[in-house]
Amino acid sequence: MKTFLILLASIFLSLSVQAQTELSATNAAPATNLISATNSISADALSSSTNSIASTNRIEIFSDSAEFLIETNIAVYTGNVRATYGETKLNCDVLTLHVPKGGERPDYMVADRNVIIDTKDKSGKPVHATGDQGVYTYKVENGATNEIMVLSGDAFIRTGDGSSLHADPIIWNLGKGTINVASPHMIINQVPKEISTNKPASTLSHTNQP
Amino acid sequence: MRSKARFALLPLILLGGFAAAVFSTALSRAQQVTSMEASSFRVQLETHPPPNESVIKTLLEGKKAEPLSGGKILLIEPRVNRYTTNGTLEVQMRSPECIFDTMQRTVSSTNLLQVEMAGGRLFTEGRGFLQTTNGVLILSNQVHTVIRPNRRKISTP
Repeated sequence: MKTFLILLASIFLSLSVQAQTELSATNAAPATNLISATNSISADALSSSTNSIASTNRIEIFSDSAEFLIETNIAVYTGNVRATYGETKLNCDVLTLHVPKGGERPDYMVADRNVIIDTKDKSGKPVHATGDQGVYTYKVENGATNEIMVLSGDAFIRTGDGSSLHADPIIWNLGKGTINVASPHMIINQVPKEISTNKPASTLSHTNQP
Repeated sequence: MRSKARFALLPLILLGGFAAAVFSTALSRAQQVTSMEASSFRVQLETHPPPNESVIKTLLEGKKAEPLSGGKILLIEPRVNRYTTNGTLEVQMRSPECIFDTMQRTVSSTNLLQVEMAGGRLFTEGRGFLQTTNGVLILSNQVHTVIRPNRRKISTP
């Protein structure tokens, strides 16, 4: 009988310990290295990010899919990539960009395959550029901004006045608004105009000359 | 003689009854475990490398957690937060729900994911994602990113 009571007591004891273990497992996260997230961003902040579409001072990128390498701050957008910044629109198949830590804008972008850039010049006329690859770099050195787009692979640009240029590469300085090219083939679109000269009018060809 | 035999059998009968009771309790407990749901789920996914190995790098949180088969956990309203070595939040990912694979240490979902980093200057969202512990995040569909740089005019030729 004594043995039976001891057996009974030990069964109850083991059951109550098991119940306590399960209870703590239900209500708590794994015990190792937990912290409180005091710096978390509020839900409102996130929703306002989504809704504030009105601002134009921003770069927007759309794509079918993307891969972010968070350690190195590199993003690779793939499939039907469309990027916009103000009046400038970029389309391509793959876009790789790097945003430096603490930086406010990408300092390096590579657009690959079927690159199409549409923007406007200072007078608001459209500028159209294409190429197989476009490499954008942004640097601030000694207080001066250096912002360059290098288009390569059957690169082409048509400026606001209708002139067009084939070259490889086309080095487009976005800061200064200048273009440097190697082995260019340029077509200048010149509109013919009426030119007045000093040639005497045909009606005066027959005069009272001696 | 008979009554003695009955008396001798009494402990066995009691033990049998008790065993049956214990079995049924365990069965009902097992049923409870299958529908177990935890609230305020938190688990660290990564710590920083030495000498900051005691500082959490990636923390996964969920409002509710429900165990699934194969070492997976369904998380409702999860957040993945990444911190710098001084504890500043640098990346926050949010989704309506996701699956945490405790074996692979990955977080994935077919739902919408919103990511905010660099103090809100960079915002990304997409549908369907996989995040691994080596800092790789894959967004599978409908990706949309907004970067807010300083205003600057691009000069055109």
